[in-house]
Amino acid sequence: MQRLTFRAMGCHMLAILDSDEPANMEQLQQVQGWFEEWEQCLSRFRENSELSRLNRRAGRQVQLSDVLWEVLQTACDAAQWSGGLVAPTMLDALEAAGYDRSFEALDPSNAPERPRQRQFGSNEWRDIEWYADSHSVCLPPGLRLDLGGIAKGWAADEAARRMGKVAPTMIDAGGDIAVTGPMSDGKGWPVGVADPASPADTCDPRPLELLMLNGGGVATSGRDYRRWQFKGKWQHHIIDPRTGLPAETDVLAATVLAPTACEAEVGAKAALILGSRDGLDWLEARQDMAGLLVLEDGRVLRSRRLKGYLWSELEAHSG
Amino acid sequence: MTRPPKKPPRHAKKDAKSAKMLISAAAFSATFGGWIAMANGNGSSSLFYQSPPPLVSPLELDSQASQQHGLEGKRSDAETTFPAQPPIPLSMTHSSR
Repeated sequence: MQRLTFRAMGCHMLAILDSDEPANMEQLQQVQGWFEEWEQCLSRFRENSELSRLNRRAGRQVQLSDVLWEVLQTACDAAQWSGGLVAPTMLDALEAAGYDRSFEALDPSNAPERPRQRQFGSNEWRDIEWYADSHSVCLPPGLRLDLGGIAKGWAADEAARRMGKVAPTMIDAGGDIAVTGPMSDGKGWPVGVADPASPADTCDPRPLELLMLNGGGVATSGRDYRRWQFKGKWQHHIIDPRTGLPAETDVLAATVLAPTACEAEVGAKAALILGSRDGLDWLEARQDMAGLLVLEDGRVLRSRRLKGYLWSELEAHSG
Repeated sequence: MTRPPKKPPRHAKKDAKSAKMLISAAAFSATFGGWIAMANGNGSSSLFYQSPPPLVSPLELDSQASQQHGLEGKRSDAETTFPAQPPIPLSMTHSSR
């Protein structure tokens, strides 16, 4: 088993290839280069990224690279199937809440005030004009996009898809995890669910649950880490498109399993925004998703289908 | 297999104090079989014989369980005696970091 760790998209990245073949390490090292390429395309924090250039040219038709074209489509599809709960049009709202620079550059104790640049509209992603023949789009005037979590989930899926041709692979993009299938021995990949109540930097973090992934992805959305104070009030980065403000929810962190890491990321965010009761119902209604919600009061709610992924359950049935 | 009852041991007196002492031996007898005195709540006690449980090795128990579940073959003693250790997670899902 070979590992590669690096930093990209403001997060810790981990790529694992289930192969001891030394020649495969060279291929594994390509993953870092792919992430750098995708970040240069998809980051809102880089002035010269393709996304930033697109945001500056709202109101005009702009031709996109294959990557931005695909990720933007994925983001708008996600907005559609999540009922608008996870939309790529929250950038103004995020900046107005104080998240106007990368989290590493943000002072969590005192984020700068930044007035909202335009009137908030939750369904503006529907107004993007698409030109399939020329791979170009036209954003409504003034609209700016943020592909944040979608970009990370998509990158995990895409890197796993590419490396999966070499050997069974796991890609962990800052907590959004994609696997290509079972490991070489036919078993699932053991993946822990971090407990938001335990410190992130502990040497031996005990997982809240131990999952076994035989394919697809898992992601966690939480307001336990990326948060800051703004005008004396704690804010976080998950915007509720219905209000344009950081979501007011009793869910501290939501973990979702789905056919892809990207869908898991969207599912986790939607469940967190909806809150414990509606969020769990929302998850139960989706046949291809399972998950757990950690509430502010410490309770943990699990969807019925989560059992199919828990090591403890799988071990009990195999014994 | 139940053995025929033997004569009650001499120390099994019927006063409540002795009964209490012997009750503490009940757990032992439940495991290995023997005479047990039980207090009746009214100061008296009664004496009865506790049959020992069947002596079956963990391996045989596992074999029985396998047959009940339609499985074949025997697993190792270590596997049946101790639950499997959870694997160490290769990674953790958490909010963006």
